[in-house]
This record gives sequence, C-alpha cells and structure tokens, in this order.
Amino acid sequence: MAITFENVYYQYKNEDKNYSLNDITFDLEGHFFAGVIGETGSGKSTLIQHINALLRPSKGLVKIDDFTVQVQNKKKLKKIKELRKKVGVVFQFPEYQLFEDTVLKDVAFGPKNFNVSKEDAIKKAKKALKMVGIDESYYEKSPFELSGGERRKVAIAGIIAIEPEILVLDEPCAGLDPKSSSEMMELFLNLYNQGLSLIMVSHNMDIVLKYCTKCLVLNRGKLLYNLKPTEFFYNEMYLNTAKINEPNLLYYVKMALKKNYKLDVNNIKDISSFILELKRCKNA
Amino acid sequence: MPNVIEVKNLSYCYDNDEKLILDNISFHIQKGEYVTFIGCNGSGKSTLMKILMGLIEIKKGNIYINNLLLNERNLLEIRKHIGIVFQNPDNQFIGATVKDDIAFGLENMCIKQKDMDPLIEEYAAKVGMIEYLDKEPSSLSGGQKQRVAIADALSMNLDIILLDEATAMLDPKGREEIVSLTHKMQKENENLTILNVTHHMEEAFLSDRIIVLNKGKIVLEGKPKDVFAKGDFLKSIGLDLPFSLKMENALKEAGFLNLLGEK
Ligand SMILES: Nc1ncnc2c1ncn2[C@@H]1O[C@H](COP(=O)(O)OP(=O)(O)OP(=O)(O)O)[C@@H](O)[C@H]1O
Ligand SMILES: Nc1ncnc2c1ncn2[C@@H]1O[C@H](COP(=O)(O)OP(=O)(O)OP(=O)(O)O)[C@@H](O)[C@H]1O
Ligand SMILES: [Mg+2]
Ligand SMILES: [Mg+2]
Repeated sequence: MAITFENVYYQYKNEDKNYSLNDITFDLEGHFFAGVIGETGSGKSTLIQHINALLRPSKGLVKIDDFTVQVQNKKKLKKIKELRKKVGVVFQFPEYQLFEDTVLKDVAFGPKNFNVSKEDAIKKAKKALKMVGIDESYYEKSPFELSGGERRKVAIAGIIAIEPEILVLDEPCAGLDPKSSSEMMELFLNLYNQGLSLIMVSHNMDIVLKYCTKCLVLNRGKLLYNLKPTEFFYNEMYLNTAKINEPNLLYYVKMALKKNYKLDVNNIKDISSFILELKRCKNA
Repeated sequence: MPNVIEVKNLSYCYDNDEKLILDNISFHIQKGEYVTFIGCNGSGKSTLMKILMGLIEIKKGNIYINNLLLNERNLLEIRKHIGIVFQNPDNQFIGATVKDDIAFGLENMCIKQKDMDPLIEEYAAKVGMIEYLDKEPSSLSGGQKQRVAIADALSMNLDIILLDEATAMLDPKGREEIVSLTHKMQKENENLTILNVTHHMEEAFLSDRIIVLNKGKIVLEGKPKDVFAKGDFLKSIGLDLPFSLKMENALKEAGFLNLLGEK
C-alpha cells in the first residue's frame, strides 16, 4: 500500500486567491494508521477527499498504488470505481452519505454497488452494523430517524461493508458517546491489525497519540509535519507552530519527567500504560 | 431565582415507533443557569431540545417557558426568547453569506438596520470568523460552520440558548475558546440561560449543573463534582469521567500521590 501526494494544490472553484491545499507533498507506505490533524479550516477534509478522487488536485498529483489522480482527467473515470472499492471514505457529516430508506439497505448499498450479490451484500451489511454496535432493531428504521451518533455509526458501517483496503475517516468519533468512541477506536485498531491501512482526521489528540502510527500536521493548507505522534507531540515548538494543544495525557507525563521519573515516552499511549511506565521507573 | 423552564411529566414517542424516547421527565431550569445534558447516543437529548424549541409537538406532559405554557398558541411569543444550535449546522443556515446569515437572525429580533453591522462584526469576531463574512456558509469547513451557527445564536440577545453538540467539530483550542465565550456571556448577562448537550465530559464539568439522561429517563442530576463522583455508574451507562479525574483516580490507586493536584 502506498499513497503519494506530489506538490498538490487545491483551490475551490469560488475562491480566487486562497489555496485550501498549498503544495502538499508526502508519502505513506506499507501498513499505516495515519492521523491528520490541524486547526479548524486547515485543509484536513479537503486533503482526504483527494484520496478517493472525490476532489482532484488543481495542480500536482496524488497516487494510490497504481492509480493516479490529477487535474480533471476525465479519461480515467472508468477506473474510479476500482479506486473507490480500494479506498473507503467516511465524511465529516454522515448525513451526506445516507440516502436509502432503511438502515440495512443503506449499508448494503455499498457492496451491492461493487457487484456483490444482494444476498451477500445484506450479509456484509449485517456484519458491519454489528461491528459498529447497531443492533437488529435498527435495520428497518430510516437513516433520517436516527440520533446523531447512531447516524455516524451507520455511515461508518456503510463503508466498512465495502471492505476497502484503505479506510479514510473524517472525525469518526465526533458525536459518539465516550463508550461508543472507545469501542469504535478499538474496532479501527482491530481492522488495522488485520492488515487494513487507515487515515483518520481527528481533533482528539489523546486518540491520535494512542492509535496512530504517523501524524500529518496541517496548517492553513500547508503540510507542516509528517512524524510519529510522539515526535510531534513532545516538541513544544512544533505544537506552537501548528497551533495544536497537546494531548491531555502529556501534562501528567511531563510533570513526571520533571520529577525525575526516567520514563520512556514511546511506551506511553494512555493512562494505563503511563501508570505501568511509572511503576517500572519506580522499581528500577 | 425564578424558573425559566419547567418540564412536568414529559413523555414522548415518535409516530412511527412505540418506543418511549422520553419517559416521564420532570425538571426545572433557573434563570441564568448553565445546565449541561449528558447521556449516551440515542438517550433522547436532541429530542428533548427539539421539544423545548417547539419543533416537535408535545404529546404528554407540560412545559412552561418563561411561565408560558408551550403550545401552538404561545409558540411565536416563546420563540422570541429561545434559540437553538443544531448538531449539524447545515440544517440552519439561511443566508447566502455568513454576514447575511447572522443578519437574518437579527432581523427576526427586530434590530434596526443601522445597528446591525456593528453587531454582526462583534459576534463574528467573538467566534473568530470575521475574515469569512462574505463567504457562503456551505463553503466553510466543519468547524467554521459550527462557529457561524454559534454566532447566529449568541448575537440575537436571547434569554435561552440550546446548544446541541454545538462544539463537536471544533479543534481543542477552538472548543476551549467557544465554551469559555458562552460561559462568559452567561456570567455577564444574568438573564441568559444556557442548556448545553455534549459528549465532552470536560465541557460538562464547567457547567452549574448536569442532568444525566439514560433511555429517556433522568437518572442523575446535580453539581458536576457530585455527578462525577459516581464514575462507575456513569461508565455503566456509556459515559465517563473528565480526563483529569480519570488520571487522578488512576494515580491515587497506584500510589503516585506526588503527581497529583497541581492542576
Ligand atoms: N466548498 C468549499 N468552497 C470554498 N472553500 C471551501 C470549501 N470547503 C472548504 N473550504 C475552505 O477551505 C479551507 C479548508 O477547509 P477544510 O474543510 O478542508 O478544513 P478542515 O481542516 O477539514 O477543518 P475542520 O476541522 O473545521 O473540519 C477552509 O478555509 C474552508 O473555508
Ligand atoms: N424522527 C425520528 N423517528 C423515529 N425515531 C427517532 C427519530 N429521531 C430520533 N429517533 C430515535 O430516538 C432516540 C433518541 O434520539 P435523540 O436524537 O434524541 O438521541 P440523542 O440523545 O440526541 O443521541 P446522540 O448523542 O446520538 O445525538 C434514538 O434511539 C433515535 O433512533
Ligand atoms: Mg473538516
Ligand atoms: Mg443528539
């Protein structure tokens, strides 16, 4: 698996001077769970929509394995379906990807659209709904009669059911309650462990620190950093430049470091691994 | 302090479903209070907010807003005093530009044309959107949309503002700014009552009072520190403690008392 952005610029049609993406270049190779972070309006949603050619660069090119997405090359439309089977994108506002009249049909739509038989599509849909915690009592409900969090879960199931190789998620935990949010992250981690690669936009830095293998840091349309989360979050200067708050966890880790605990920050992903690391230092 | 909202024995189910979404709920909100509702997905929070806003008709129970019974006859009068910010801000934009959108709300409040521009600029600046006044709301990023929706509601000089996950798409710095803006406005204006819905326990912690919903029932209610003293119960209904409390509990339990309490 490889995703490459080469000097990608993107300008929305109604904008005359501002580039929402401004000369973005990076590579993601092999097996990854990448976080995309940056303040409001920094270009995260714009960037990820390039990965399945929902948006095409105004300049530059995007490569996903052997697919190339560049300036409005209509010729390639035939292959776009293949690309969209490979790369599944869940939008920031799930409303915009729900349209069938029942939850079950909605989730089955994706696989059916990729030539899976109706029967198998329903099977895949049921499996995906179970994974995101939506039970049978919801199957026949209209997606428009769901609560905000339920709707997001159904939208995520709709993409998982397609069984893409890369799962791209725009704030998948926004609107989920705390338990659903951690279950959803564990589901993503499972998919990652099964070989999927993921790209996730998130405003929750504790989640990015815990789950991501890489983070792409955007600011006003520019890519500032492409680093391991610990390399980024423990660097005060980087945080300030990107105008990003550190994860909540780091306040405590830094306090412990100040008090001379010889912590290995690479082992610290969340509260429980922090406590383990503290115990290790105390016993050493 | 008088009550601005009184809810008595409110029950609700959607037409197409017999499941009770709100199950015999009663509560009071005092004038000037900042009350946060928490509860797992599907627990009935948005349904309750829409009922308070008069967007869904009451079937069982009574609601008084500013001592007026919430019914069709009083709805227009009540709407002059209450506003809502939805989970998805796209559902509420009306204007062709950010500026028009804020202006539309002000027109409804009968603000004079000449007073409008300064107000629009004041509130756009407060939410950090002054550079975007001439943009179409639909061409904004998720967080920018939420900021505009919040400016709409705050600018109208309402007595009651309902915020239904109005900060869900904001980055952490943005959330801090907007949440403290709403608290500041509520402190400065003794007539302003805010009802907030959030999945961020840190945000809930800052309110005067928390009401916890589960399966359409109020299962817990009180000051934040009392509500969050019941960590195990909250976890059992899909909720959690604010990060700092979780960390303090973990440090205490493991005996690292020297790392506590500087925050
Ligand atoms: N359809 C559009 N037309 C014009 N400009 C747009 C459009 N969509 C986004 N923009 C602008 O492009 C920039 C990047 O937007 P984008 O949605 O990618 O941000 P984001 O990083 O996802 O932000 P958020 O965290 O708020 O969702 C913003 O300044 C935004 O106003
Ligand atoms: N229009 C509708 N018709 C039928 N059922 C509905 C409708 N809207 C919501 N529901 C159901 O009512 C329940 C409560 O929904 P509500 O939107 O009030 O939840 P919520 O507490 O706001 O959840 P969330 O945190 O996910 O936003 C949910 O189980 C939902 O499926
Ligand atoms: Mg976005
Ligand atoms: Mg809701």
